[in-house]
Amino acid sequence: MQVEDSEILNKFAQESTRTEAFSLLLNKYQQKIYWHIRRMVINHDDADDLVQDVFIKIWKNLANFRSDSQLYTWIYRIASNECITFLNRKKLRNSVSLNDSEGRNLLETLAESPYFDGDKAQMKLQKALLTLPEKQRLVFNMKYFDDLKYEEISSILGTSVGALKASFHIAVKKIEHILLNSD
Amino acid sequence: MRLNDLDREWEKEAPTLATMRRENPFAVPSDYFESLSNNLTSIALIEAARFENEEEFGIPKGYFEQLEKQIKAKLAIENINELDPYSGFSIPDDYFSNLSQTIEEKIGQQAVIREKSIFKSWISYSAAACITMIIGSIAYLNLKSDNITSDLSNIPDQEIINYLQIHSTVNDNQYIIENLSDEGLQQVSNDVSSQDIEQYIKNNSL
Repeated sequence: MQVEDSEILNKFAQESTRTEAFSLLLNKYQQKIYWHIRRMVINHDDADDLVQDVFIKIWKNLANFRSDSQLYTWIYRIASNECITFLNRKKLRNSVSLNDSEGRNLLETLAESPYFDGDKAQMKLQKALLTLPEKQRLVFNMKYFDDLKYEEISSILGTSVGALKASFHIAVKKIEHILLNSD
Repeated sequence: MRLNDLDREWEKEAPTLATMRRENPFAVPSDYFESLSNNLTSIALIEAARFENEEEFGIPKGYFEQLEKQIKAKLAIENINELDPYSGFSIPDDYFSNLSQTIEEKIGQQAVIREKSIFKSWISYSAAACITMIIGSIAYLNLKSDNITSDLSNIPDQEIINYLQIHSTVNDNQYIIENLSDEGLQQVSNDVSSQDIEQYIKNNSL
């Protein structure tokens, strides 16, 4: 049975139980956050680095967390921002536009990844996803794979529900077109 | 219900996508998540210890207050150094092309001056040596005469008179006459008669 976020926060507030609270938080969120990051950056090692960065930031800033939002939306927000920052930095380094050239670098990573167990259909889907802009891909992943509500995604990304619906529907149409027209 | 319908509307627009299994196609190394918790906990503890230890390191008083000013000052200096070093300053035409010749000429003049000054310095040293010798000699002689005077004062007067009677010359007489005071003359004349004196002069004149 998973521990409540309020319990985690209460334990973290006390120095004597801070480490215990952090362990509870890791048990509850580490896999969700890892997969959220992994679907964006594709490569396992990159995802590993980022997930560590995310949880170190959580450790440093959890004491200042204000309960005006849910703990998990706050955690997802940190992870999403780290992904966007990482991908922008990578784009700059490689001087390859993930938008214009349809994520050629990530495509290569996907094709060569030793940690891909999906079938041909899954590979097609992932390749289609890499054609989307980063933020649109984030929205699609959170809606399609994580099954989050638009309101929750809105809280994470700071985007309106209407804009998110529009973005998701556009993404779905694009992917459907690619799935139908590619080998 | 309506919200759920809205949420599922996309399935009508993308049936292929909707029928696909929503599986995670990505894999991780074995035992990755088991070790991830331990790794993250260790890192968090290290971070906590790092921040605790930072307070053990002292900093000078007012350090952070001055830091911003110092950084800005250094940046200003770097900006100045990046400016064209020649901006604002000009030089005469052909300055550098004539510079080496000018320097060589000055070097030549300084070599002549140095030779003259060396010659002059030899003269100075010689003159100084001579003066030193003269002063030294005078000092030595004075010292010696003082010694003679002190030696003479220890000799009894009668012995001196006897010596002078044996070894005196005409020149000595002239010296005595010129330097003999009235008081001294009176002393001599009280002991000796005028006749004795006249007889003495006759016997010893040339």
